[in-house]
Amino acid sequence: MLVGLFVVMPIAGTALAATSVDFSQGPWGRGVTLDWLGYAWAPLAPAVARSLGVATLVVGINLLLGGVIAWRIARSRSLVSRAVGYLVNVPLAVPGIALSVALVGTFPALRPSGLLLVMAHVVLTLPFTLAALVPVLADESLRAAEEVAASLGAGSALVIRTITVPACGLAIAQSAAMVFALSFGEFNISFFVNPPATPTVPFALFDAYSTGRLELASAQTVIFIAFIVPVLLAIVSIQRRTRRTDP
Amino acid sequence: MTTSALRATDHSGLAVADVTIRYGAATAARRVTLDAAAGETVAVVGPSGCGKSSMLRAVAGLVPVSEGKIMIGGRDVTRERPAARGAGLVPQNYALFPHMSVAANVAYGMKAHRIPSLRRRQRVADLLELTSLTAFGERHPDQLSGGQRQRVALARALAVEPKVLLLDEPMAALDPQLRGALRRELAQVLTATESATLLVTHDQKEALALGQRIAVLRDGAVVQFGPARELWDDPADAFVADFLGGSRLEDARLEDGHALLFDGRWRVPIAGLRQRRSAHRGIRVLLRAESLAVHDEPNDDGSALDVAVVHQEFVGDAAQVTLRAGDTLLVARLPLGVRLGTHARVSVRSGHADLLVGAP
Repeated sequence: MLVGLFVVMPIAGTALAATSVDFSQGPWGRGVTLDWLGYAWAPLAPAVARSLGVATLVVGINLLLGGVIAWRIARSRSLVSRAVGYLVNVPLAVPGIALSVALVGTFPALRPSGLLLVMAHVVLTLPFTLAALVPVLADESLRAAEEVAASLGAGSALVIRTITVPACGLAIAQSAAMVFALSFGEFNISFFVNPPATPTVPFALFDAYSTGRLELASAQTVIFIAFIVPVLLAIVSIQRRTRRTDP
Repeated sequence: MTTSALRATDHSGLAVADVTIRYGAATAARRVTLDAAAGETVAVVGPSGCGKSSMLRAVAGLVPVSEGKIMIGGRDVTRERPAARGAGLVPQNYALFPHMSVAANVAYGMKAHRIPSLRRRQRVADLLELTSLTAFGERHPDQLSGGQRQRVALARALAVEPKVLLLDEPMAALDPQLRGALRRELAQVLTATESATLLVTHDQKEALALGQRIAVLRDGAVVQFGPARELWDDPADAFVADFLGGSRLEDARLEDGHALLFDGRWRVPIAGLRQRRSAHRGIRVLLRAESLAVHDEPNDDGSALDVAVVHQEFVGDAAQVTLRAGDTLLVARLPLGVRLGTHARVSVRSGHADLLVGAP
C-alpha cells in the first residue's frame, strides 16, 4: 500500500506527464505523445554517459578498495582494522553538505577533472560494499575451504580466484548493483562536488525541472528510471537468491 | 630434543618432534612427539581443548609452531607453507567447495599441482570409484548426504597423493546412527592408501577402531603413545584408562596374597586377577565395568567393598550402575532386572580384572 502510494504513483504521474502533449491541461491533456522522450534524450545523453562512466568507475574502485578493506576487517583482529571498520561508516552519519564542503576544501585540485566526484561517491558507497562483503569473508566455512585449498597445493592467488571470489559472488553482485544505483542517482554531494559544466544525470534533471517544461523534465526522469530500474531489479533478484541459499 | 624425537625425525611418513604451539600467552601443545609410518593410521585422542586439533593444523601448516620440528616424508616442513607440505586435509565439516561439482572438488588439488588433464580425469574416476561416488560426480555438495560429503572430502585429500593424510574429527558431523557403517568404509579407504594418516578425534571408539597406534593428549601434552592394544591393556595412568576404556586404574599394594586398594580398605585376592607386566611404574589394578560384581551379601574378609549406589541406567543388554567408594566412582554392569538399594557391596570377578606390575 505504502509502496503504491509513495513509489508507484509518483512514477506513474511522471510517466503521464512525460507522455502528455500538454500536461497543464491535465493527464494526457491534448493527447498522448512520445515526442517529449525524443526531445529529452538529446540534451540528457552526455549526462547519462558521464553518470554511467562515474558509476562504473565507482563500482570498480569500490570492489577493489572495499575488497581489500573488507578482507582486513574480516580477517584481522588488530585495533587498526577495527578502527578502519568504524571510520569507513562515518560518511553515513555526516550530512552531505558537510562532507561535500570538507572534500572540496581539502582537495580543490581534484574537482575540475571530476576525480573528486568519483572519490566522493566512493566514500559515500564504501560502507554498503563493506556491509555486503565483511560477513561473507568472516564466515568460518569459507576460511575452512580456503585452508583446505591451500593444503591441497593452491597458492594464495589461486585460492582467492577459485574459492574466495566465487564464495563472495552474490555479495559482490549485490554491492556492485547497490553502489551503481547509489552513484548513478546521487545528487546531494554531487551538487557541491561536481564541476557545473559537466553535469551528471540527477544534476541535469534538477536543471530541467528548474528551467524547462514539466513534460520535458518528466521525460528525462523516465529515461533516468529506465536506466536504473534494471539495476534495482538485479538487486531484488540477488537478495531473493541470497535468502534462498541461506541455510 | 628427546631421543624418541630424534628417532621420529628419521621417519619416512610423518614425524612430529618436540612441537610446542602457542597462541599468544596460551600454550595449545607442549613438546608433542609422535610419528606415523607410511600406510599407518595414528589416532590422536583427547578431551576438547587438549590441543589435538592444533596439532593437526600445525602439521598442515595452518598454525605456526613455536618450537620443535615437523617432518613429512623425511623432509623438514616446519616452516614450509601449507601448499608445499604434501599433506591432504579433511577438516571437521569437510569444507567442500560448494560452487564446484563432486568431480571438480576431487580434481582441485591436482589442478593446483598442474597435473595433465587426462591423468587428472583418470585419477578422479579412480577415487570416485574407491569412495563409491562414481554416480555422484556431477552433483554439488548440497545435493549429498553427510556420509557422501565425508567421502568427497576424503577423495579430494587423497587425490594429491599426500604423504600425510590429516583427518579432523571425520565422524563428528555425522548422525550417530551412521557412524558405525561409515567408520568401516573409512577404514577400508585408509587401508587402500599409502599415506601416513593422522586422525584427530575425541571419540575413543573411533580411535580404537581406526588407529593402529594411539596418542592420548591431555592439556597439550602426550600422556601415552603406542599401539592401541598396548594402551588398552597397560594404560600409563588413570586418565588414559578412563578416557580410552572407561576403566578405573587404582594403585595397589601387595600383601599376603592380596592386592590392597583404596588405602587397604579393599583386599582383592591376587589369585583372581590376571597378572601382567607393565611398562609403567608401580603396582596397579585395572578395573573395567565387567570386572566388578555388585551384590548385597555380607563379607567379612575385606574382598568386597562397601559402596553407595549413585545411579543405575538401562544400557540395552544390561544395566549400568555407578557406585561411589569414598571419592572414587566405579562403574559396574548388572543383569537386567536387578534393582539395588542405596548401598551395596562390590567385589572383583575372578579372571576379569588385571594386576599390572611395573618397575618399583
